[in-house]
Amino acid sequence: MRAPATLAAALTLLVATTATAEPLVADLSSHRITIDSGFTGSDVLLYGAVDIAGDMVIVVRGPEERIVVRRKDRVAGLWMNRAEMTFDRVPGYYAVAASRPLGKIASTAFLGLYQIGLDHLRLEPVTEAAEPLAVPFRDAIVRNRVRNGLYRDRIGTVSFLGARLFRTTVRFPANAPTGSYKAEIYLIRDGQVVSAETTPLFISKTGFQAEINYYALNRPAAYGLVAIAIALIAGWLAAILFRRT
Amino acid sequence: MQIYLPLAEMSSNIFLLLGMGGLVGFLSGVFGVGGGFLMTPLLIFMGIPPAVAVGSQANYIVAASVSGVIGHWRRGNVDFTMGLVLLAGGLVGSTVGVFLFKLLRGIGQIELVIALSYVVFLGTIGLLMLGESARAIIRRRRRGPRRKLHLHTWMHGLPLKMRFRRSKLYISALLPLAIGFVVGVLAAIMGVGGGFVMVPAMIYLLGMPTSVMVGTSLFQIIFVTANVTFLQSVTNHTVDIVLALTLLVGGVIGAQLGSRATGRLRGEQIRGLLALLVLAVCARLLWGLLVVPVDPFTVEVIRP
Repeated sequence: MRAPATLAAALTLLVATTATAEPLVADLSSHRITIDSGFTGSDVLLYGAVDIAGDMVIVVRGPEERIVVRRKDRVAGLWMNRAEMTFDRVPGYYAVAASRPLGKIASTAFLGLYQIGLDHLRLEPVTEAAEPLAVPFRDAIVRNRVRNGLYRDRIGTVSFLGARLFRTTVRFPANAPTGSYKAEIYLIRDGQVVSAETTPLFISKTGFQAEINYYALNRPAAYGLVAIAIALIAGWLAAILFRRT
Repeated sequence: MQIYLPLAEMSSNIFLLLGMGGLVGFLSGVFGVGGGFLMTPLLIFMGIPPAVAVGSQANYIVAASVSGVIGHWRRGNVDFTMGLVLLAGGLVGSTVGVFLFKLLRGIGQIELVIALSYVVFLGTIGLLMLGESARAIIRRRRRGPRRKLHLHTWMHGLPLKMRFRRSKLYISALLPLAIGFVVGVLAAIMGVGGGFVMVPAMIYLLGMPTSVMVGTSLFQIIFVTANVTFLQSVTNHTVDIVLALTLLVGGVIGAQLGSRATGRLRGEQIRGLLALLVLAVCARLLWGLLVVPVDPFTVEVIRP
């Protein structure tokens, strides 16, 4: 009879602490996504509870990457790369979910400060470049990644169950880069952050896929020779099979 | 059904890949070309990163060529002496080509050079072959006198003469060496086996008989693409074994069927069909260079 009593006590304690100390608690249904041979993307549930009425905004960012953007121009009738710009610390994934349209939750200045929404995502070139020069290149990154499904241009929905419990689903596509992600959860009231939390997520390759990746990157010579050997054997086997039939 | 490609870092439809492998394998068996000139654009069109497409399909072509060459070898249609001389040039050429590839990639012009080489080489060769095979077919219809095996030009005055028994040739070894070298450079830059350049060169420059050209071309392609596979995996880490294997399952079957179909077609018909195929790919790539791009910007992730 002690176990249920302890559980009840623990629950009371949990509710009590969240009520007093933490206006916001949130977690992901999974902190690790593994990529195997059948990986076609994954949905992760983000859920939590709030103690104060307010709006929820969730921003998920992928591992930072270095990116070169090139622009084609017509030269003698042919389209070729003429200009390029390098960007550092570009998130490999970016998605936002909110309980109401962003414009109704906070001011543009606020959204810019917290980089909430694709329009406010700050991407800056490595070398100092004049603002109007860099903008088309920055926009090209966003456009490209929206096309690839890595940046979500539609704001996801954070739905409330009752007044306190909230949830949203974060979709990671099949081409999501591996590495560490983070979900930033904001509780916003009257255009100000009341409480915020960050929770991590890792995407990694597993099993056969991870092994292939490891050998390709760390034992490239052996990997190349094995690839050739497999090809030679496969070609030979096929010829033998077809001779008999 | 989707399959995840670990180095391309994306998933793709397995049946689409199998079908593409089969189609390209069939063509490689019929024409004695590796099929890379067709496979690379197809893979890139599917959204596979160009570097991974180039590296993986080189590995695939090794298998398709082995499977194809065994069929031709059994029928005695491989000139090993000629193959080895071409290969010597090819290995040097493909190594130089991989170096050039790296250089061009660094200055951001590799895509343009690839597309232009495709257009120039596919266009020239396609038109030449189409014209020649059309003339040959017309001549056959008219039942006119047979053409000489090959014409004698300055090339036949070069030193280091060698006898190529199967090809019924007695020519300078410098000629196939040079052809092997040029094809090797192109093979590495364009990410192909180079058969579509090699086959016409064998016919028009060396004057090899049609019967041995397919097998001999496949024979040397095995080694050139093996060299490219190795160099690509060492320098760029872009050989995706899962992708190569999937293409390969379709490809080896296709190559077997293809090498059987060769027996039913006449030389000039084979050349005419190959010419049309080559011109179609050329036109598609030229279109891509001339038409206003949907998005003039391209984005590339730099791996540390």
